[in-house]
Amino acid sequence: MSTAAPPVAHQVAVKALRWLRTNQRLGAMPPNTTADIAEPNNTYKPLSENALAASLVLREGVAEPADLHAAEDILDFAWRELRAGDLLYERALLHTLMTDPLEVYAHFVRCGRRHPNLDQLLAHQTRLRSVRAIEVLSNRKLAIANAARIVGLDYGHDWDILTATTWLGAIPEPWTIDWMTAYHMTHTVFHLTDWGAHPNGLNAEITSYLQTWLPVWIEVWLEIGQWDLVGELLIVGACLDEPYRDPEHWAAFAAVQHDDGLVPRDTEPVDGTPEQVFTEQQHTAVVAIVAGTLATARTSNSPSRT
Amino acid sequence: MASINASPETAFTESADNLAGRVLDNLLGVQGAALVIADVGSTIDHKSALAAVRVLGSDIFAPQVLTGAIFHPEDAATVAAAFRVFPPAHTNTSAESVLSWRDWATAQLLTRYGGDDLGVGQPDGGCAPVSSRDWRSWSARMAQISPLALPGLDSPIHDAACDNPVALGRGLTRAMLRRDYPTAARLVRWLALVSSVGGVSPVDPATVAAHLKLLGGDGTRTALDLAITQRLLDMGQIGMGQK
Repeated sequence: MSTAAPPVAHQVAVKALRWLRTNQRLGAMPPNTTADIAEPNNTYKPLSENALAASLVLREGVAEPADLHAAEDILDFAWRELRAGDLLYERALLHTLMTDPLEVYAHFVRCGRRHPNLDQLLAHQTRLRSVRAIEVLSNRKLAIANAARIVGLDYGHDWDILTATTWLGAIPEPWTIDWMTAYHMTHTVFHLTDWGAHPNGLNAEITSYLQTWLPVWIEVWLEIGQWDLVGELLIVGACLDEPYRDPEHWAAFAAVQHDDGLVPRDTEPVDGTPEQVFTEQQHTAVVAIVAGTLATARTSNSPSRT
Repeated sequence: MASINASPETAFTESADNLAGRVLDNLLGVQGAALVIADVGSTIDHKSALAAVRVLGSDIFAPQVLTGAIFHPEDAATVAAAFRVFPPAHTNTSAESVLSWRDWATAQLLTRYGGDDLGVGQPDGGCAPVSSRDWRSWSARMAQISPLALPGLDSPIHDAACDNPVALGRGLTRAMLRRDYPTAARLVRWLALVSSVGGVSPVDPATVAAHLKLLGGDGTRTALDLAITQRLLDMGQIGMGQK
């Protein structure tokens, strides 16, 4: 579908960005967090996701100056919480086979933040056969490959081989997809294209496959109010060589956004303490920011960047 | 046969299922099922049986169209009687348009297999999706008129099916993911027909049909749709490059 990006996509992104900036302190690292990070999913991963969203807003540059400033602020906050990269460095130093320091670091490198000691350490680790052979799911391996690409490390990844080992790379029967596999599929697309920066990272067969089946998957998960997944699928649409964006899908996604910018992850009530609400809804804010930003940036007339 | 104490709706449903079962047996070559619409029975069952004929419509002729089975004059007379008791719709709402197409197909096949000319003309227009975004409502409508998915019938509906396999595949995929297997069976039947005339389906209808058959549990009419699908696949040339 080669329509221009719906204006509502931009509005969704801006409102979600403001909500995230307003509430980001609710996701601060607990005091005295060490590199071991007892519960990485509680704050470490969300901070990384916030940094991702902010980095893409800044990379695309389609937001108003005030919103670009908000993105800078979100990136700064996350960087400070990670002690300007020291926490990533310490974690990589202590845990040679953990890939998350590299993956988190990439969001900051995208915006020019560097940590020289971490750079040196990652360059060394990249040369270890052990690190290169680490066993993870195929779409997770793509996450590592994309992070390495951004940071400027050579892991010797063969993108075609990596692609072929994913669910999406098998050109699977579209009627078999389930909720978890849908998330995996979206991340395969995100990493192969570096979040829409390289639409040609998807081969022609996969691109055609997604153009055919994405409308169905969005419909199915819209119908049952899986807004977080719908947002992820909208990102996939924005990553295609010819972006897919159905105004009706965007209107439905925008309709569930609250006045303050919160986008509910699903049909469950949004309630609890501010901390609980932030914990439960932060991921969907990130998704909404990325989806709206990429849909706005990638107009149907824009040539592929690579 | 419908129970004597059943409500009219239940009686009609049971009669339709019974008739679908007889058509299915005939299609599969089960001995003794050659007379499809037998046993219209007592007064109360008579009307149910005729309603069942109208519900199944052109599906009644699937054994004749697909296997060359004989269509008995008694059956032809019963189809004609069903049209007298339940006359064709003649208005243009969407729902009635569906009924009009089904009536047209039944009338066409009745004439072909020796029955009376019922004088049912081909409905006008509304056959193709209005845009690429229209796949959802269009495929839902195609599922409703799946009894037309038989070889030898030719109409703008069939042209639209051949021209829009992706829209059919999307509707099928949506139905599968929503676990609406009766609708999925009706749409895979259309895709099998498209494949049988050399079209390329965006999903492999044989795989979907096999999957639906294993899922089972959706009644005789779905079983009939799947049996018809299998016959279409057996007679067709499946296009290359399918998923």
